[in-house]
Amino acid sequence: MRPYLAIIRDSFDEALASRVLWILIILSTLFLAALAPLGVSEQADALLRPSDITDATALAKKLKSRGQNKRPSPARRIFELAGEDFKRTLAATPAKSKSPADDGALHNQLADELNTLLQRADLFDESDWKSVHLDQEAKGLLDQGLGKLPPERLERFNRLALEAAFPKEIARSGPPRLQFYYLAWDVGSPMAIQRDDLVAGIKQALHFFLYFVLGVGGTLAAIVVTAWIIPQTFEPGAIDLLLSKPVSRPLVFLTKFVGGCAFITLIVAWLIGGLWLILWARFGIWNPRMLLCIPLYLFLFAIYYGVSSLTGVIWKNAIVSVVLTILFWFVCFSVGTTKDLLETAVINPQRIVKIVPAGGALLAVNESGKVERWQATSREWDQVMMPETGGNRPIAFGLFGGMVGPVYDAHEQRILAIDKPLQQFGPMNRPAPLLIGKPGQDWRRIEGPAAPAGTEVLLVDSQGTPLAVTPSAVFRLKGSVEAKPQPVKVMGIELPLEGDGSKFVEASPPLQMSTPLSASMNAAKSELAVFDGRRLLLLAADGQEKYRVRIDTELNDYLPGLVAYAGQTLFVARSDGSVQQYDPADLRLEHEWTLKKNSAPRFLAASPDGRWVAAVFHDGRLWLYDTQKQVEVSPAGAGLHDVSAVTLTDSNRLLVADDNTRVTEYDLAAGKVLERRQPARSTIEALYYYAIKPVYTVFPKPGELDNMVHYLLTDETSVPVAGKRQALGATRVRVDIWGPVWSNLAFLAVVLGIGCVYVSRKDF
Amino acid sequence: MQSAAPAETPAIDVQALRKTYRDGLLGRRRVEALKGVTFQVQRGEIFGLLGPNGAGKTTLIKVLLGVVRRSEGQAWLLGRTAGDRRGRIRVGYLPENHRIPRHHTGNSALSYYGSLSGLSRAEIRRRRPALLETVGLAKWGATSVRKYSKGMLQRLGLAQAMLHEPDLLILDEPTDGVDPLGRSEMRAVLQQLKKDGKTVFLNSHLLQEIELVCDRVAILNHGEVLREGRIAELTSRPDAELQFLLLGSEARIRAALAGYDLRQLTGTGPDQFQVVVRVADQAAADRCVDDLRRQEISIAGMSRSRQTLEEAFLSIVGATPQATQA
Repeated sequence: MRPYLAIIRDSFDEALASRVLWILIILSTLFLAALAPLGVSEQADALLRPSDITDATALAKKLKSRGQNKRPSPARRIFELAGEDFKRTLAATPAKSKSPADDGALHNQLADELNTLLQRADLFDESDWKSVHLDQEAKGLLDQGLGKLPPERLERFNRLALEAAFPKEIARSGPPRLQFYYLAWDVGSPMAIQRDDLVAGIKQALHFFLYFVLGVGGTLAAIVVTAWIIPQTFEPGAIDLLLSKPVSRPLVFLTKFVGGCAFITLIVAWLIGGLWLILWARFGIWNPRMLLCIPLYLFLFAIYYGVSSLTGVIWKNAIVSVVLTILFWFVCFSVGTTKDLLETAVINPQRIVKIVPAGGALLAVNESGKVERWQATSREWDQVMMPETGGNRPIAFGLFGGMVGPVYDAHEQRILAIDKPLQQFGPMNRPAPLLIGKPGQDWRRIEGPAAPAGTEVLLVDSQGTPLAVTPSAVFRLKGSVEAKPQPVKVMGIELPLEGDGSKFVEASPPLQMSTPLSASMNAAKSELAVFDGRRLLLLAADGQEKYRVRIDTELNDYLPGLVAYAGQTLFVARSDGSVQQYDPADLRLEHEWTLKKNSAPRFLAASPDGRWVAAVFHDGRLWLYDTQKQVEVSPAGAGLHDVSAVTLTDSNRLLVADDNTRVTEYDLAAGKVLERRQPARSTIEALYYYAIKPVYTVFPKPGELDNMVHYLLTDETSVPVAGKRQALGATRVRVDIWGPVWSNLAFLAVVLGIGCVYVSRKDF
Repeated sequence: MQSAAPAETPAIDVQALRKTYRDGLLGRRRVEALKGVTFQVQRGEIFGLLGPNGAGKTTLIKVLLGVVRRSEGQAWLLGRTAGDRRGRIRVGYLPENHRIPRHHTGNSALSYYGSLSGLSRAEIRRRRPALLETVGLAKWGATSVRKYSKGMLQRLGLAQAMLHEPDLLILDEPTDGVDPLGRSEMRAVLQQLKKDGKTVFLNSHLLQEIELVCDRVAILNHGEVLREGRIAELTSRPDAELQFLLLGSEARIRAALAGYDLRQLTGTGPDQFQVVVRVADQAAADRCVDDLRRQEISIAGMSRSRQTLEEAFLSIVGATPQATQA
């Protein structure tokens, strides 16, 4: 072992004697030193300005009336803690302001008095604030313990609590703003972004930096500076001296390879370690897994260096070695890029992401947002509900909000959807209309009344009435679905007006939920389940076209999720890969499955009778559960892969979309496949499936080790293509984390194996 | 022969060794570098391998060390099959035009190569000063090899070959680039190695060096051993010229040497002649002496002429077809 340790040690000595190493380390050090003074501080509105009180008279009235009431309420607590002057002010406040001057004075007085209270740690009393729903930021501060908060954070919490208690009287303050600074100087203006978004942004930037600077630039530079090691070792005069010693040839080759990697380890460890320390010390981002990027980038380098070593030992020429290694990189890049281009432009847009059985027809929505109908005779999907302009919807590059629905209204035999328009800027944002398609009209697109702003879920009750679920309330359509809004042009700007009296009206009390949210309609019970990641609500129809909150429960932690509610079955699938079953009677947690860590669900569906529950995850996996037998079920018939959508129909039939455009129908009771609907492949699809993909599969994928870096930095196994990162139903690109690792490991083993055999048999 | 290494086995034993290289685009052209080479080097002797460029000397050494694989035949090094890693433990090698990595100093280079030979760092540190003194680099141990001259690099190469105190030293052109003083010092080192019982296998173009230090030599040309033996055997010629100092009349002398190839007859005094006669072999030389004595001629002095090693080498190599002169 001693000779080989000597070779590795000699490689370190060689590295330390290299000027290139010291130049790179000095450059890295300068970069880290330049980055270290950069920091960020949080600035949040805490104290009230008079202008923050939107209705001073109403606020004073509430504080006076409710404050003197014995029933626990925030007003009672404020009144209890308020000084006598404040109480006199409240008592003297008239029911209506007499003059603007008086009103201004009241604003000032209220702001001053409340600001005094905001500084108190005992303002928030759980019994008095029980009925108030705090937002995520306030909950986060509460979790830290109010007694432990510094004064400015305590004031911020009390302000948030006050806003939540009096939403109509006190304006909501903006989220905390973040101010970047360099040494003692502020950089730019404070930015209204949340800390989580900042952390996510920094991680993305870091990922970008690591990928391009270290992964591409650094690796190529490393290849150039290490290319001479192997050729120099194996050149005449050096190799025969080395081989005259009692050493094994393959081990000489391998230890020299390891020695070259050691050279790079020093630089990579220095740079990533430094970045990690800066993130921790300056931005408070504690991510020890980032240090795993050191061996990962070493592995990336090792793949290219393996090629460099093999060519170096064969041709004994550093320039040839560098050229061939770059050629190898280019080939890998070309194969990967060709595959990605085909997937982005052809394959992925066709993937079925929603299945809608519509009476006798089967409709589907693909990833590009097109609604398609299965044509049994020609065995192909053809597009329906096309825009009137006849144009195709653009591929999702993040500009449009996505489609809400479609849902099938069995009562009226039609499908309903809301197609969110391209994002527009400015105040004149045209609201998205309700879209209707009917089989009798060959699923032609018909525009109906405007859908409520912020509609997250579209449902249909058993009477065929559309329900739009938004974070603020549930809306129901009053009037005909086909009443088109009549736009009016004012100074050339189109203003939407309601037409024919048809419009969505509030059908629930204020919900005060956050986005993204998920909702499910239990038609048999006329109940709605709504979930926003923390709060789970059950709303029941009151028989007067309204829904009342039957149960409102709050889960321990915030995690976006999907809800499915049918029969006696209420399931929630959350973004950490867990699935929970609740009792609809009292929302008691009955059972929980941890299916796959960090694999977010994309769809959750329950059969109308509640027996079956199916979930599809972003990693293409299907989970099916029989609540009657309380067992997980694997659908009959093999071959399901890359599942992208699922639905359960009235007749206990399961429809699964997989393999991009295939929909398979199962009879769950009989446990057999009823029908497979799969169109023939086009030429370009055949090229992708039978040429590009196989080549890509067997080819090494050094560039895709970046997936692992992304995973280590963000903990995500898939990335959203568009929309909010937390929106589970949004199109996401699955990140293959371990595939490239194994593929590259196999390639490296083969390259080094060939090198060892060559060195063993070569006459030097 | 097995890989065991009994002490009485030759240091190097080569039997019908062949090496054929393949050349050309598809390796279709065959070049025979060694054509059935056979010889032995006994333990404790200094053996010289002579031959013109391209004779196969370096190939032979590389086959012995396992750097190049043999095509046919057998070779053993210290009783172990050539190429056996264990056999190389007791071998020190100084290659021709060796390259010591430029990041080393003299000391670190010895540490590196000593570790490759299996020595501990402590043992290397113990041996290093005396060894550098021996090769004349005592003051240069801490100096980077970038600053070494060609001769200093050769000395350092010799030091690394001797560091692990091998039983057999294979030196390929050890005096290449070394100045005359250095050569003299290197000869002294080789003689000391011989005294210490080490075997030295020397490959050199410099025939005078070989003649001065080697016990036996082999002459290799076109991959074949043309001659092998002691220096005296190679330089002696059976058809040598006999030089006489004869006392007698010129007529009698000419009569006695009538049947011989008389090359020179020069008077050096009254009835005293310097005579040179060329004879074919020893029997002819004996008959020549007998014939002179029968004519009652006194033989005052007699000597037999010898070749230098260079003359012998040129004579031997020149006699083979397609000879390439060194």
